Amino acid sequence: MRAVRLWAVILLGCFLVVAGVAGVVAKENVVQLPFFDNIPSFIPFYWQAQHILAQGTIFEGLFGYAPAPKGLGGVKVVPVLAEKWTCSEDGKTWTFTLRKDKKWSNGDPVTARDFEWTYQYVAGPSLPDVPMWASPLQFIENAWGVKSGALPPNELGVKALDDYTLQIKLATPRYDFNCWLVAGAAMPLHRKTVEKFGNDWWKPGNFVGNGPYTPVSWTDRKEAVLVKNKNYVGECGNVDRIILKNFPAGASQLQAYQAGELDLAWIGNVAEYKFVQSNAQLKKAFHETLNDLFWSGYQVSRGFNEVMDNKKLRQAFAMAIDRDTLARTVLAGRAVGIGKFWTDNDPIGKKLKAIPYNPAQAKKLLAEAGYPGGKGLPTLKFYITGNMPEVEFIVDQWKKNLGVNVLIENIESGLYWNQYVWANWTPEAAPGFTRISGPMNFFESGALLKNACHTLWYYDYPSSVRKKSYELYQLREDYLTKEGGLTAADWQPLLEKKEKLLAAKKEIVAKEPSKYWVAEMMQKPTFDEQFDEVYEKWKKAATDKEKTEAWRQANRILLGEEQFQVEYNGMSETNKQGRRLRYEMLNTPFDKAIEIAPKTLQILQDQYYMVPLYMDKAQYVQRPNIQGLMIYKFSWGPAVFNFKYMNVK
Amino acid sequence: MPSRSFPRFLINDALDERGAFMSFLKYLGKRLLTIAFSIVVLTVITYCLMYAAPGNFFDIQRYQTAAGGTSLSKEQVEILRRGFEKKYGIDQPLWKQILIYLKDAVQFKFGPAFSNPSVNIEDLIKEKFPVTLTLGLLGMGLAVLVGIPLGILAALKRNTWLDYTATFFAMIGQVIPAYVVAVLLIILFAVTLGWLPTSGWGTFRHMILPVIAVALGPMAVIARFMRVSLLDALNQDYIRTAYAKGGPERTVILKHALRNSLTPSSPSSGRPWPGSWPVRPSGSNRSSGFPGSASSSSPPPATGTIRSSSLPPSSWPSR
Repeated sequence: MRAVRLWAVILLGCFLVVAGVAGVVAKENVVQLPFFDNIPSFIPFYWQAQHILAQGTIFEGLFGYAPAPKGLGGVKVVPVLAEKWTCSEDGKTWTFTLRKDKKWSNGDPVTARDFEWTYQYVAGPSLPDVPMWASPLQFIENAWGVKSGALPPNELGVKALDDYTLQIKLATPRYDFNCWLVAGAAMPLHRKTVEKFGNDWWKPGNFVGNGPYTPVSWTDRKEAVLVKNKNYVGECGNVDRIILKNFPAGASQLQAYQAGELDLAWIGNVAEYKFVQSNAQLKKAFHETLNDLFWSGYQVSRGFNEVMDNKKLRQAFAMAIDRDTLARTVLAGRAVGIGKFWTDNDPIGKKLKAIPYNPAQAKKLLAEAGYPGGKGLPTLKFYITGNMPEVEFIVDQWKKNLGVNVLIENIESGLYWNQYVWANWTPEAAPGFTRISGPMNFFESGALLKNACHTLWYYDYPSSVRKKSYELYQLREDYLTKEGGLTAADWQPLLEKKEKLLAAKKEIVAKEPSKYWVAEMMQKPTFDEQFDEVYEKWKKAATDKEKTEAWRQANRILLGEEQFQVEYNGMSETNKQGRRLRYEMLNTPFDKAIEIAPKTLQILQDQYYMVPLYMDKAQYVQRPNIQGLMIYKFSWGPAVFNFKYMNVK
Repeated sequence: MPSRSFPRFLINDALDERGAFMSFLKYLGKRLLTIAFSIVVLTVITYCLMYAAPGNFFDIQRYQTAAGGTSLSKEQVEILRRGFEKKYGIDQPLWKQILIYLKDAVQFKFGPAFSNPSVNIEDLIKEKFPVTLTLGLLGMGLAVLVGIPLGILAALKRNTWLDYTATFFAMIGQVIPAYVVAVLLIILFAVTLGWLPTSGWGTFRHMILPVIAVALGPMAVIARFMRVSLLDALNQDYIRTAYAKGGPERTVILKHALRNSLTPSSPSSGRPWPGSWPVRPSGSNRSSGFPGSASSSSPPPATGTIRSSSLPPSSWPSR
């Protein structure tokens, strides 16, 4: 009898424990989301998928993104850890007062000293592969000296004036620096954790962050699990656990959604879109939003053939494409046809004039360009990679509307994106076109041009100037390995060349009306100062190796300057005008830059080197009980981010 | 002395055996040495080819710079380039790079990939390879367990509806690629019936669909090989003799025909390895969210975003 009672008590205990656990589990709000790419780690400063998580989910910076339905990309930049901040008149000194209530996930307070240490660590030479171009650290005083190892990390222009006051000194004015501070590379790290665990500090178990969520498990190319940070201070939704599953493009997201394994699924192609539209349940859960931070279209090939130097010819091609039909038919309504870089609904696009679809005018322009009905026009090529049905449509439009046959040439993907699309120049490219999509990376003033500034950097010169510039660039590369510079005689021509270039530079500076551009040209150390420094090094060099290295550097400095001067003297007036406006944008706060952007973009657009055709829609199905999802529309998007705004009903 | 204790012929046999064993060892040693030498030569050749191939990860990062619309000065690019090359040892002469790589490879130390500096390659292999191995073994096991009986059945019931059905399914299994099978299985068993998960790995339920998808193709091949091979064996004189001597059908088939027909069909059982789910970075593992080693080496998707420009055919040490 006693034994029976004992068993009964044990069973009851077990039942209560199980019921209790089940109750707790049932109470937990879990959301399962697809992550478009692998999360290779939780290190915030690498330009990898996790930098989206770093921005406001597992970390928080001085500034962050908040929802703004009417803002660009549906977001706006807001202070997060920063309570107050000031920017000096010259745009070079930023002082931030931090909130005193913010904590790390282990309960330690987040202080200005965390930022000071982190920025010195990330800018230091021990992390040579940090993508500085995607980081606000690139603008900080002495950042490059620290990165190269020439200066100690404590020389970096970041100082914690006290526990909650951070001062950042910049090498050049950046009035939009606060917008840069949302970047993953601007997040603070927990010093003790990094020092204790070395390269493994980011692994769940070791990880200490300051965002509303903390990773508790991670499997490469499988999933990451985040749970609410119990020490987080601030607004956060009611989701307790977020499971991010790695679903690259082409994976069966929709099936996983249908099977209840995901609470959201992205629609990746026309077939999936049609499937969703044909399924009543999925159709009900369907959502779409225009990705206004990203334009898609084509660009002129980056070769040196002068055929495409003819503006009327470029304009004729740009005006002979029916963008609406393209978006409606080939892209099956998954995009909106658009003849400008921004939409009519935003403050930039409102002031931009679109490239119209006007076949008659296009035909006339073609004739005026010297190729009536396409006669006499050399064979043009449209380079593509993989399957690009939109290009077939474009080429067909040119055939129909202009009578021009453009050959489509399909090349290997790596070669295509790296050598034909994003390379400075592609000497081997025949005259013609490539596809391109121009995104924004962050809300910073320069990015408002959505990469159309490549028109200024690589296009808007006569082809002879482009070619010359390329040759100088190649020559400069050759000096990485050239031998010489052991005798004073080797330096004589260099010294003479330096004087000549210096005189020419003074002339350029004197004539250039844009103070911003001049400031950029004269940024310290100037080319002659760099040259003098290297020359002194050569004089003091003890070995032949050191002498040769100094001589190589001197040659490279002069060739770099020569390249600049060749470009400056050879560029068109529109190019100069565009650059002046761009430098002005870079020297104004983000909100002001939005006002200058339309003027700059109109100049770029009217050169027809980079031609917008459509904007994609981000399409997805989502469980109706999930609210407050923020869609990330920047260059790695579309994705969901900033999970603290997410709630489960 | 052994010669006093054992009959002469036994000693001779033992000596023969020892000789045979020694020559086997010699042969094995030779083969192993050849394999090791081939691996070294192939590694060096591959390294040199990757070295000579145009483009490199650093330049791709620079293109990203351009793609991001941010301009770094030439000097800044130089600083990054020097730091990057130093970190990965690619500032060393080629011969030295190769030696360092071979030395590290022998110790199973590959370091981080260019594209992911946070994780060492060897850690990824350690994590992924067991999954790949499990799936490969299970796939192979299933293919053999089902393929061989299916082939036997088809051969024994030649030209009957059973044979036609088995051959039909074998053909289907052979012609439909694994990634299509995977999607069909997901739609049927995960979406429609809701019995099994659509993706992932870790429990027995997660393994069922990938194992079937992997095994189906090789299963079909094994079944067809088995059928042909068994039919061939059944037509041999020794089978007729066995029957003539009054051997029961079961014994004749199992002991004589089947044993001899297994040899030609056995190579086909290795098929799940090279052409299957876990080891091919193509659609099948993508469609299943399978976390095997192929998924680690496969490049991220090229979707026309900035990422696509960042997809480096990274140089050899990262692979």
